[in-house]
Amino acid sequence: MKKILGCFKTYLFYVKILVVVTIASAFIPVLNPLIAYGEEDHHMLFSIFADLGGIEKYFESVLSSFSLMGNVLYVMMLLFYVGMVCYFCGIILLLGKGQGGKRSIFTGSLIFLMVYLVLFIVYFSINRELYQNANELISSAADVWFHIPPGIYYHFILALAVAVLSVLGSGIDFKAVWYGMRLNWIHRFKGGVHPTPHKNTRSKPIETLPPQKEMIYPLLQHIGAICEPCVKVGDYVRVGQKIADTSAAVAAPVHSTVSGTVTKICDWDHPTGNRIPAIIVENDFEDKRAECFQESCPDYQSKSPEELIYMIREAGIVGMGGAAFPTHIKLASGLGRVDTIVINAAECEPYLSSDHRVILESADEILGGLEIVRYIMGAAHMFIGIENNKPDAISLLHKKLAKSHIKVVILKTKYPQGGEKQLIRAVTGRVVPSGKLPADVGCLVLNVDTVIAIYRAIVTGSPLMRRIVTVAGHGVERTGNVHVRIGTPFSAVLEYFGYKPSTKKLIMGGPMMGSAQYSLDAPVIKGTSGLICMTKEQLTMDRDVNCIRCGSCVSACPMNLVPSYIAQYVKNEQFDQVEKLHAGDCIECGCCSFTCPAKIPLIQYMRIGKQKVNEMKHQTAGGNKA
Amino acid sequence: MSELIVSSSPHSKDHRNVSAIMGYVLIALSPAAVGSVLYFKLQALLLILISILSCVLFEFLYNMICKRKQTIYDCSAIVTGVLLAFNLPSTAPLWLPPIGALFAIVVVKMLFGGLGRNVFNPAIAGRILLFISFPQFMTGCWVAPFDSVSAATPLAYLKNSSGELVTITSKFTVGDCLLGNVGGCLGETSAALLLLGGIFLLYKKVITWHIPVSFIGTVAIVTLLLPRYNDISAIQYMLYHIFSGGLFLGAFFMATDYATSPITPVGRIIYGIGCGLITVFIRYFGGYPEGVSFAILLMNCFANYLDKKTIPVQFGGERRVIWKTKSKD
Ligand code: SF4
Ligand code: SF4
Repeated sequence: MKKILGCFKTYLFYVKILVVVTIASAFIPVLNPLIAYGEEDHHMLFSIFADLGGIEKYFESVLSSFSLMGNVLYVMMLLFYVGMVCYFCGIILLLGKGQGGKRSIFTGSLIFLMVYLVLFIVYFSINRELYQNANELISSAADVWFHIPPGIYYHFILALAVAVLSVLGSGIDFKAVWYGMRLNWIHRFKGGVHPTPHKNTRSKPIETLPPQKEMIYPLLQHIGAICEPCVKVGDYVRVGQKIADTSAAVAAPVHSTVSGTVTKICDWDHPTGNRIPAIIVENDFEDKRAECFQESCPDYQSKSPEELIYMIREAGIVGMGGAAFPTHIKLASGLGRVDTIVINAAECEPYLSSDHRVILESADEILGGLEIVRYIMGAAHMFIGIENNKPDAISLLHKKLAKSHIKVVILKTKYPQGGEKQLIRAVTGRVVPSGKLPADVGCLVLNVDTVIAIYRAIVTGSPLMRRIVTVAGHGVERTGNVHVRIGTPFSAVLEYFGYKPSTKKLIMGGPMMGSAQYSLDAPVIKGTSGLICMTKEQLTMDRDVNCIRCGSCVSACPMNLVPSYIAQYVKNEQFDQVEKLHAGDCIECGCCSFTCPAKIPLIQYMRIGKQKVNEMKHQTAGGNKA
Repeated sequence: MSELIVSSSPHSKDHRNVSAIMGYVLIALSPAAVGSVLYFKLQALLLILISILSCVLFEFLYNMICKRKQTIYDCSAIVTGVLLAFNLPSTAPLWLPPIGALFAIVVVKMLFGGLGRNVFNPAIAGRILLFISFPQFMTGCWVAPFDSVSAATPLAYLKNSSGELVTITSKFTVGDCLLGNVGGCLGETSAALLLLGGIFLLYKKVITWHIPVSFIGTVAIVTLLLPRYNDISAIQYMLYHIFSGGLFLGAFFMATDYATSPITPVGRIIYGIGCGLITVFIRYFGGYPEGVSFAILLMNCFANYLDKKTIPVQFGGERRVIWKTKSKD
């Protein structure tokens, strides 16, 4: 039944067109079959210009003095006129987009059209005779350019004037116009999809979840090596005390976020789906701070960048966007090479709004953190890339950064706008070559929340201990953003929001790239940006059918790959072909699976292909050495 | 506590599946269908219904006899049925569509492995089979809408009347072609209604602009630059070519058929240009006044090859590096 209703809804498209055409046909006879359907009306298409002040006669005389040249000129004139009108309408449309509001698009273009029409009718009725003898002016094709009837000029001037007036009159920010234009013509990457945003948690202030009795600290909260515990069972730990570390290069230490006694060190459910060693601390609720908190240093400029990076490492900071790559490695590898820092505030995943709330609630800390990062990297340019669906955050940042060198770049709302390579392309126009890192084109990408963590680590000396988690989905009674101490089990967070047992799927992170959880005992770790509880109705579980070769995966892939063919080759185990199609460049964003109407799990084939291709590369590399 | 499902990301998917897409195509075809029923009355309605029914029935029977998974729910057979009917003249006898449907569904589609695996567009293959086997029903007895007198199609005029004094403009205006007040197949008479459906498909992102634009654009440019008819201006000549015959039907609904067209953007443009060139070639020099279906059928053979040759450069791949790090000195 729902489907049938939905079917009728799509017919609304025609109804809309019909309404527009009916209204317009009052002014433009060609659109109205009843009026325009005449015996001699051979130029019915062109009589559209009959209303525009005798131009039709003008064009007719061009046609009657037919020559190839005349036709070409005529088409050019036509394009010119249409182009002008489109141009003005286009600006008005962009105005609305740049500001993130939909209403201004409509009001802008309505003002434009209404004023234009009224002025035109008035003008036409006064100056009727101006057009009467337009055709006497033209006797050859060359005259087209020299004897343009006054009507055309008046149209251009009129349109221009009205456009300027309506732009001025609607009180629109010209900066936004500029951004709007760049947004559409420069600041973009190819491909991507538009999942339903579901961002209704963004208007809710961040709440705070009290710490739990039992806190769990997995020894792996980042990409890289597992840490070694540096406390024993029975030890007393304090807030902010380092409890695990390693000498491996790619890793970040783990800190306790409560004070209490270590009760167990054992394998525990981990959000990645494995069981991984964890330190369990029983909270004594006294929140005794560790004396070994590193010293704070508000005058960070007295330290060298290397020292600051070491402090960042000691604070256990990792990328807060979800991937959790240790930040100190990123900074250290970019030292001396990076001239542009891009702050990722795009938050393109559906449901998630933690970054959005953080910008609204701790903008000053972000600015402080940005200065620190700038000092460390010695970078010349700083950009904050933010999607245009967060108008309040954008205007706040504009206000705060009015006199600063940091530029806010408004991005189109599109997934995966927050992907590193896509963000760099959209903000700076640079393309990270295949197989290279952002630092190779002089860019460094940091999440907003990471910047805040850096600020706290350097200025107040506190390690990374909290995480803002978005809780959403139909599986919880209320949704929102919550300030959680790292190590709190999922069950506690979800209880706080009224967990319903009807939840069929629990996702850590966003629905596009997050991982499905099998256990509520797993704790919140550094990369837990959201907990989405999906019920049965929210899940799409169609079985997959033949590839129908629709090509939507090709147009959706932000890396410009051809997922359908790659999947086919992976199925046939033709891995040399898979490599030829650059499967190794896949960023596993999931756009292809999302959009595929045949519901083929393309991303799984991509993962297999990618893995095989990398293995093959290793083998050949090893073979060369030997 | 209930069991939690663990699966690979992405966890939300587009609600659009194959049957939804076919539904959109049907909705897009419906203005032209309504138009044809208005123009050609009961006969058109019957032809369309019989064609749809026989397509669905043959697919159903094929799956049943071969003991395969039933695939009629994806609605693609309905689309094939409508398209097949759109390619019949209004005077076609009612037993004609089932023959076309049998060939289109069983031979062209199902024997190749079903939707997505077929090499040729089933509706076009069906039409061409009928065209070759039953020329007496498929050509030469066009009826003008409304008044049911026999009339030739505009393209036939463009082809034949160069020696006669009767000029095409006295028979049909460009506006007639646009609205569909000309002789022709059920679905191809009204360019405006087809365009409406085509815009709907573009708006819903069911098809991309590449094929229709390059197809129609090629036909427009060639006919504008090389008109073969001197009584009317080149622009008018071009407009007649664009708005008449199955060009809009072919460009928006049949050349864009997923399974038989390339999936890469560049491949699609080349495919469209190829279709356009062959269409004009047949219209100018071929034995039939209409060439769209043959053009599409011929280009179908190249779809896969075009894909292989036009794999897009991956993001950040060579040849696309538009920015180089400035060396710091
Ligand atoms: S998962 Fe890989 S192949 Fe699929 S859209 Fe993303 S980058 Fe392209
Ligand atoms: S989106 Fe799915 S059905 Fe369409 S071409 Fe890609 S794999 Fe095939």
